Amino acid sequence: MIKKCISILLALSMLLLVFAACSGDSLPASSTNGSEGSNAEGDGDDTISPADDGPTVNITVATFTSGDSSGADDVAAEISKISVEKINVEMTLTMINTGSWQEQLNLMLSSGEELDIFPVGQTPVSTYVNNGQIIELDDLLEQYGQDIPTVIDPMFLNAGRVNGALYGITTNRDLANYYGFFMRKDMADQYNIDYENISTLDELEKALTIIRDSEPDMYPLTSGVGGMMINAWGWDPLGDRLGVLLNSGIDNLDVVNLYETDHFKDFVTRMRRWEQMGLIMPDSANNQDSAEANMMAGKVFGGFGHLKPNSYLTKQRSSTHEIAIATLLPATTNSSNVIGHMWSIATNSKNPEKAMQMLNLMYIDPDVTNLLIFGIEGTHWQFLDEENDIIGYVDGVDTTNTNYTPVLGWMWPNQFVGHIWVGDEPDVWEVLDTFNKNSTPSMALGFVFDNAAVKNEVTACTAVVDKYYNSLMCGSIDPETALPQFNQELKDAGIDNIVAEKQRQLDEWNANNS
Amino acid sequence: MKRSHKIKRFIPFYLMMIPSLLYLFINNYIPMAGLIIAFKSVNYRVGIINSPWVGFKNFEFLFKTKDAWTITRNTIAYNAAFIILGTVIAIAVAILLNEITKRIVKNVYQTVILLPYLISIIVVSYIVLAFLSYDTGYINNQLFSAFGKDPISWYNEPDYWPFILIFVYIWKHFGYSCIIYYATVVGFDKGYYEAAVIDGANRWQTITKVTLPMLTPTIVTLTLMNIGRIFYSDFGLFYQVPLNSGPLQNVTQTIDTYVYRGLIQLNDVGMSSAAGFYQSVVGFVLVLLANMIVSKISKDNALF
Repeated sequence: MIKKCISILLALSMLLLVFAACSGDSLPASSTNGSEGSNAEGDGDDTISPADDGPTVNITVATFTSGDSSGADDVAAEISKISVEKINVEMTLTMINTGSWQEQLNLMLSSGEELDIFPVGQTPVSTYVNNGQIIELDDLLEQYGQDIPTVIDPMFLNAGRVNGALYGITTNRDLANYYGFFMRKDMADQYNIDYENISTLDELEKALTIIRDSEPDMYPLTSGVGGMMINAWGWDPLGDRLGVLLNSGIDNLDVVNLYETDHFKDFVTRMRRWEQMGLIMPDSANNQDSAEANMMAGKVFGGFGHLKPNSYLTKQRSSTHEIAIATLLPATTNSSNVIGHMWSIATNSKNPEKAMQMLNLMYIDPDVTNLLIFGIEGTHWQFLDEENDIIGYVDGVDTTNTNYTPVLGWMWPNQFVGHIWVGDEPDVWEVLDTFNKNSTPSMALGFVFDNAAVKNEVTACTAVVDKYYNSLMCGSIDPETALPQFNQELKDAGIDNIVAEKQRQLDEWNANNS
Repeated sequence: MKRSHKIKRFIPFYLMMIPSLLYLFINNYIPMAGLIIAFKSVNYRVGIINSPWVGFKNFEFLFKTKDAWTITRNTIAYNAAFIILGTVIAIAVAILLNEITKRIVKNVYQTVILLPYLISIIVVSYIVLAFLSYDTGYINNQLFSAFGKDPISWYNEPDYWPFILIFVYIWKHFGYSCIIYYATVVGFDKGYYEAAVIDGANRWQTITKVTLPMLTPTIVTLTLMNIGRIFYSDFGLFYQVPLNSGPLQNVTQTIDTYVYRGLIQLNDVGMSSAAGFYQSVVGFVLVLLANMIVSKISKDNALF
């Protein structure tokens, strides 16, 4: 009896300890947060002096990288030399490999670690906003980021707004794209495939049939990594593809359930036919390699892609063959393109004003941009053709042994002011800029869907789409039976509520904007 | 007088216990406070404590879907199959191992049996792919073509997957529990076996009348611990091994994969904690139930 009492008492005291521990932890934390907030505001109001004489502030920039970036500390030190002089800010640069980026970022955001500036994209910006993980940028931009609107077109800048407030600033990269088919140029030439004049799926079908008939060891077409044939084909996905605008949103603002439309049915029925004709590599829906890797292995002829000017060059770099491209759908742009990658300021930031000044510098300063993208001159890169601003690795350094991998120029705020990496056309940035500005925008460009009101439906529908989408797009299941089933499951999962909510938000957005 | 003497004698042991108690406390008890996240709509700006309470709203997504039944059925049925088959096979192999007398042979078997357990599930998924790939897989490419059978599109045919998954799981995991059972069997007093042989028992009889009864407490403990995790599923096994294939989801969707697939867009800690909380509650209740049943049958073997 006594034993039992003691053990119960012990358990109780432990529980108490737990609560004591957690409340003890949290109270000081929240109170310091509060005081910091007021401090920061006070600073902003009283002493507006960009390059002030106060103590040098450290701003942490975290982002992802696809190769060795262990030299980031040296690069940050070089950038700090410039930024201390200009805005009295030092930079800490944290580069995380793409594979663990999302996880690490979530940890940094939820643990309250030092973090000021980071890119958002893989997770929708509205999620960060609803979680309170990023801050509003309107006032900061006006006061400290005044140069950013001079380099980012307002049409694209305003796409970072959620419920009217600016939360993210997009980068200068391919903000529009067209849809097409990329293929091995040598084989296209060999079989007289006139890829420049292929503009419909019917014409493409003929070309693929030629390849099937003449190359028995090769499949004409496959999907990308994870079985994604293509994630949009002439529709504006409005974020999550649950409720879209047809014809890339050019005609009207009527949100429809994509999977019920004839447009979708036609496409997947065609894919099924292609699969039956042997035009699509078997098991494409579970593809573990990129189309480029399969092309390099000599297994396939080509694949569908979201493309931009000079896409053939980028594709060529990850392949051993020359690449040719057929344009099937014209260039358009929509919110999903633009907000797919933006820079934001974390709620953790102790100095949002300084963070915005740093961002401003990252958007306009060519030296900072070059350091961020390419690393240090002489250590990581050198001029190959100074007149045309073309650079390459320094002697003895290449992709395999550099400690600052320069492949993700699009990730940094403004690659358009930077140098040009050897292999790119000298006018690459002008061409891309014109392409972005000349593409047809969706009528909903600038609209960001906030899914907070329909969370359960989004969760359920996402799981259903995951079950059917890739298999339908790769033709591995029969749309005759699978499509009605798919739609029934979506209905049960509440897609109609999502479409209605999206339409409501879109109408409201439209009313406020026109 | 006598009591205090006893406590004094055990003081060194209590001291030795402190590090692991601390470990248990820090790693297993303190995080329990995080359970409140399941009932909150977390806003990082105001912190977890100050985020608004939302009651059971975070749990809704688990039950609102029509798949709720499929998910629950798959999770529990697979785990039940794993527990039953896994235990039977592990015990059988452990007993067989014990019958081997040559030391080298025994060591080789032990290593070979344990090896799959040490392989990452990602690697396992590629080994499975090497067998099941439509055009280059061993089964379609070598076996079926040799017998003139049409190739099967394995990743599109849900019918085969319950067997494939159970096979893969057992292949990967039985070695580990086998070693535990084997270690227990090795520890049994040889006297019992000698006595049994003198009484005229044959090998089969010594196994059923001596080894198995003495092994029962270990079996019960391990099984109860497994039942506690019956509502958790091996994410890698159900997500990576079927290559996230859509048509297979009726037989591969478990609670963990559903949470992953559904929340990959939302990134909502509240909802994912709700799922974890629900899993723990179900596991806890099942362990209590199973323990109650065991103690009804034989009180000595119950866990508590």
